[in-house]
Amino acid sequence: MSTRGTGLALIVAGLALVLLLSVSVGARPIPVDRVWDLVWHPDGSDDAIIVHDLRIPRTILGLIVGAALGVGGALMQGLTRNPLADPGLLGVNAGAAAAVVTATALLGVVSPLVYVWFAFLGAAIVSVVVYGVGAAGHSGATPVRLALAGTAVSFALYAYVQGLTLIDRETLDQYRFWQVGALAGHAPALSGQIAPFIALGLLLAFTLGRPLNAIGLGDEAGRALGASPARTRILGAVAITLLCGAATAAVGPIAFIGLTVPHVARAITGPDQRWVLPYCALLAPVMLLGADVVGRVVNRPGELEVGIVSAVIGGPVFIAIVRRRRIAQL
Amino acid sequence: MKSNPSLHQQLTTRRAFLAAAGAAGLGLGLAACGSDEDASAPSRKAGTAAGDFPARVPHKFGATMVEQAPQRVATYGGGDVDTLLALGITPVLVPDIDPRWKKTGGVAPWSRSRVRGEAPVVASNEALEFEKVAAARPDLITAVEYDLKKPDYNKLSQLAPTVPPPKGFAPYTVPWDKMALQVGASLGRRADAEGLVKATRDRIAAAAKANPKFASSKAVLIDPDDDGGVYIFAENDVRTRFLGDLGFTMPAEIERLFKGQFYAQISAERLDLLDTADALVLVASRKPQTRQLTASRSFQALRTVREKRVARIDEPDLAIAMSYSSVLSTPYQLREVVPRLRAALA
Repeated sequence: MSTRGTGLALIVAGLALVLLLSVSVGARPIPVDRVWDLVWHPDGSDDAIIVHDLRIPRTILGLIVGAALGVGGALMQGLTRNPLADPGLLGVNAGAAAAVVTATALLGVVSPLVYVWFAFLGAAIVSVVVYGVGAAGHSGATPVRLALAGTAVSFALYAYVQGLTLIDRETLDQYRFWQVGALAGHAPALSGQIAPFIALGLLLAFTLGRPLNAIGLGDEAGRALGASPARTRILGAVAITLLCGAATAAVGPIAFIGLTVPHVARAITGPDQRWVLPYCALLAPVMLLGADVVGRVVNRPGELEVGIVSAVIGGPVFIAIVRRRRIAQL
Repeated sequence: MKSNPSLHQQLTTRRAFLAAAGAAGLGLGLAACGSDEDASAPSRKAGTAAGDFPARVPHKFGATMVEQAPQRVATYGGGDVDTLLALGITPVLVPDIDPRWKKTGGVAPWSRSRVRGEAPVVASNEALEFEKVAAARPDLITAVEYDLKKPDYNKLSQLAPTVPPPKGFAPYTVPWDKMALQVGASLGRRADAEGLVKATRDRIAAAAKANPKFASSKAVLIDPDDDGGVYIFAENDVRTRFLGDLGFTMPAEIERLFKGQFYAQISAERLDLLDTADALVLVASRKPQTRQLTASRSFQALRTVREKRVARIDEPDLAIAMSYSSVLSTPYQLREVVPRLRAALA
């Protein structure tokens, strides 16, 4: 078995462990055997409510959001050949944020199960706009132009978001509620709503491994190898929008996972995107849920949001990887 | 705003919320309610107040001398606004506590009927707007309910005598009585301020006396958090202090969670801790978060909730008043909250 194969098996095992931990461990200490008894036989007790209403939905959400952010980040970095790219770079976060505040300003406070659609739509529209702006002019949608367009559009949208949240208190509260970056505090039905989009995004992303490898050599070389740079970029942008749009719409912007997980993956697999993408799909939920579990126990009886914990834990890990070996080039 | 909230931003966002909630604690509780009017100090027109001058006001950076009766008072403190209005002075500049109040000169609704003459200029509460302050041509600046930093104090002092909080209080924790005395002293009207304090104390005592059950009950005030859990507030926080003034105590299981901070968080998984209380006070300062909490099965399963021992505070202005604490917000809180507390214990 190759190193990459062994690594993959280890990560799958790690993911299984983290999933079990995420159901077993929380701010409320419940004996593990009781937790698993309640998983299969809910008895209506407080503990059963906690396992079924809080821990299981949160674990599922972490799994799919993590996979989406990890793969979305890898695609982003591969497409823009920018090792610092994260899902926010194409304007996804800003688009979702602008949509959340617009929906609140127009409709008042609505359930997250409703505004998630607005957020998703906002992310999608902005991705198209960014692509349009980046592709305008005769040099076409080069990575640099896409990144610049995404940054410019994001700044404009955040100005809008800030304006609206300054004027209206309710919009501000809703915006904060959305953008806090926590896996906790979401309706159990949320995962089901975003899962189809993320599944589609993952499937699409996995078909892009080979063309991404090809255009990674440069557009000319990519074309010579039979990959169309324009087609790859458009499909990649669609996949990113599906993945990051849905994930961000659901839980708000979580920056660190999408940025760092692809680097960790490449440090193990090398630059071959056919390996990097599935690695990210598995590694990112391990990191996200692992950080989430830590956040539940360090501040008992309170919790720390996963966005904070993943940055605090992930930061040093990331630095260690960067120092130990040369970052795999894109 | 950057596209990705960093760790620092997330932390400061949370802190900003708490500080804002704390800052909001400065309104006095006098709504436009006739019976409340008589309780406040004699109304005097700014400028006509006699007062004892020069007035020396000790504070956390030393002491400030006010040479003569101020005519134009600018203030960077929500509670200061209430206190000034209770003393019959309409400030020329007030901080922006809630955007909804801007249309009416930034003054809390419970104090609005006391505004005389021109409505105050509303300045940002996030950062000091020195130019706006200068343009208001103040001859006194108070910032008792404000986290005034030394360099800013020095700058403001060049515009007018500036009065920060008294010594020994963390930002936004000056109690309403100390605040009244500090503001009163800077106007050279300590005796008037003492009268206000006494009148307010009497009201609280009357409410406590009329509800002896409060003194034998344990209460916890909660404010829903972003992640399905709740914030709780320690005994030195203005919110909990209000309940303590009415006689309520805090369950020991809750008290030990604060570890010196004025607030703590309880995860959605540990809402069971709240059942150590006889009554809960649910302050819905943020609607989406409140919805999320009250819709959750773990909240609905609480004994206190099932037995309807929850005093809910859903009105945005009343929620702000709860974290305000001033000689005008307190009567407003008493009027609105005491009946709900009584109902929760019935």
